[in-house]
Amino acid sequence: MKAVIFFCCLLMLTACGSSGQKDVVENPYAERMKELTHNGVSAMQRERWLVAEKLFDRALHAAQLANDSNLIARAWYNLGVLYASKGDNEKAVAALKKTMRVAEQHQLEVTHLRAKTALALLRQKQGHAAWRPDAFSASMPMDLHLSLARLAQLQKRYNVARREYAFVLKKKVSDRASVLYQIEAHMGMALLADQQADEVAVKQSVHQVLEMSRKVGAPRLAAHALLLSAKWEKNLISKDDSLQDALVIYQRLQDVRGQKDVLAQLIIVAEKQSDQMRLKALQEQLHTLEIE
Amino acid sequence: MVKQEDFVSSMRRQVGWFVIFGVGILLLLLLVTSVRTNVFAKQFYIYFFPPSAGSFYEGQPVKFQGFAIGHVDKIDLEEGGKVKITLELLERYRHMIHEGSVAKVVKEGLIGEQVVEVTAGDEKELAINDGDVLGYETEASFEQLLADLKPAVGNANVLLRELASLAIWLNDPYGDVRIAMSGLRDVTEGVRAGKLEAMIEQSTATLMHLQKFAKELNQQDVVQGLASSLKLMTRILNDVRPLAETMGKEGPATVEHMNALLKNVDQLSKALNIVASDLSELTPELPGLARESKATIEEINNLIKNLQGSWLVGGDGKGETKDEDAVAAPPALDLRP
Repeated sequence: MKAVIFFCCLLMLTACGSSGQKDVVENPYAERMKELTHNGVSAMQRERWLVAEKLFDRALHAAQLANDSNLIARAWYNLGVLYASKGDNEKAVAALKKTMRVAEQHQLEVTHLRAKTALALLRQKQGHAAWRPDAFSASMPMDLHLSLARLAQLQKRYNVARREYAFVLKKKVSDRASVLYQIEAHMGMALLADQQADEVAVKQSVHQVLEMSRKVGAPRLAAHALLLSAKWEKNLISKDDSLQDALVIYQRLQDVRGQKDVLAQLIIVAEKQSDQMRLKALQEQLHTLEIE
Repeated sequence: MVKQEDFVSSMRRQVGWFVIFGVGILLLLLLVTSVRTNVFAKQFYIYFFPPSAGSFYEGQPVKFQGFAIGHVDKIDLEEGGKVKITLELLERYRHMIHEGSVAKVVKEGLIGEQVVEVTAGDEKELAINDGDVLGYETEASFEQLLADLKPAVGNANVLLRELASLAIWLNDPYGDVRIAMSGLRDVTEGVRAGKLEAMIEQSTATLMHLQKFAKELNQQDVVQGLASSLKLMTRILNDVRPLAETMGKEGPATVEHMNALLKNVDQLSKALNIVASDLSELTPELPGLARESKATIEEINNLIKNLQGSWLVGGDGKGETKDEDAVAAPPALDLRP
């Protein structure tokens, strides 16, 4: 009897063990593509654009050698988003259109939707008429809901934007990439509240952005949040502190546009404080940036 | 008398020839030297404005397609804090450098001297002129990459220490692992022990190799940091080895502790990913090794996930399905106020 129980247990355990195993045969090009993409996304999250571009480019080569449509479409999408993040809009549009073509041919729904939404976001930012989706299925990944929220926000469809940001924020997350999406959702909520002059909601969302940024490291979003919080701060000293903090981050990130925005706000503060010396220094700093 | 005059004139002639010959040799040497060192070669000057003068010095060689074509003549700090670098280049190469050419700092080999490299530019365009301003392109230098590597190495250190404490806990003969799971010895014997042990052996060997390689680069502080991290990691894996020998016999620990171990292995795998990514531009061998160790750790990770999902430790036998879409790049939202 004992022997039968032992044999049954052993059989079940072996079955459990084998159920989670990967396929023994793997395409080395596909594996290489996934690894390069993973590293590229990691570089992109740290704003290492040059490294990310090289890695995504090599990932595309590997995907083409693997001759896997899903991977090829994903590689084109990653390159498209990278170019869009860098501000290279022409290349971004070409790569995203390529993604859509491959995804359409091979019925890759998620990749197709991602590329279409990214293209719409790009067009909307450039001031052109863009695709206006109302909702995505709840089973779609977080980044798609976040992109839809931002697109709806730019198209002034605030209810859709709020619903989608809230959807992203409701998700239970554990990895850094998902936490970064939630920080972006909080920032989106803060911008929505700002547009509707809801001071309390702005402060709550900004607080969330700053708290979460400190945990996972999202300096650019933290600087945006500090700039926005300064706008609503009535106390001139606190306002000045927030702006100074934002300025330092923008300087470290070499974000000229951010620096100009902060300096313009600091000039207003200096005018209110009637601090002529500081006013002059800030104006000179702004002038230097504008020349550059 | 005549003979004496002949002798004197002959001596004068010989001295004359000697002097002429000597001066001729000297002139020839001077000519050869000047041709070889380009002292009298016609030169022209171009400028560029890098964000910092940190990587430049006067006399620094300037190269074009690997050939020395000049040197850094002057480094000036201009009004408004702009750095101006003046390059003195040989005129005979001017026609090869076209508009659109850029200057960048490159390193000759891994630990070689930094030189300024000038690119050819757009060959359809005209050649550059004396006094033209070139663009400056920054390349991810060894120092920059190492600076970026520092946090990854720091993270790896913290994670490795956590792993060390986990290893001690897992190996404690009086700990709850051994006591709680001793009853499962017969059931699990031989099922997984071999595989886990083999993987940890493989990981240890890979890391030792990586550590040896890192030691060869010990001129760099950061690489020393990496070496010490890897040393620590090797020690931990050696600590974990007895666990591997008995894990299959005694089964996994409580779900809570297994989760903690899994989380740490996950984080370590990510840290190694960053290390591999940053090193990919330094040397092909080092990232390859880092990748190998990452792959091994991922295998350990999968194995632990399988163990965790086993009905023996309260799971449902199904591993967590990996979201293939997780490797998509984050969308470009630009949430600037």
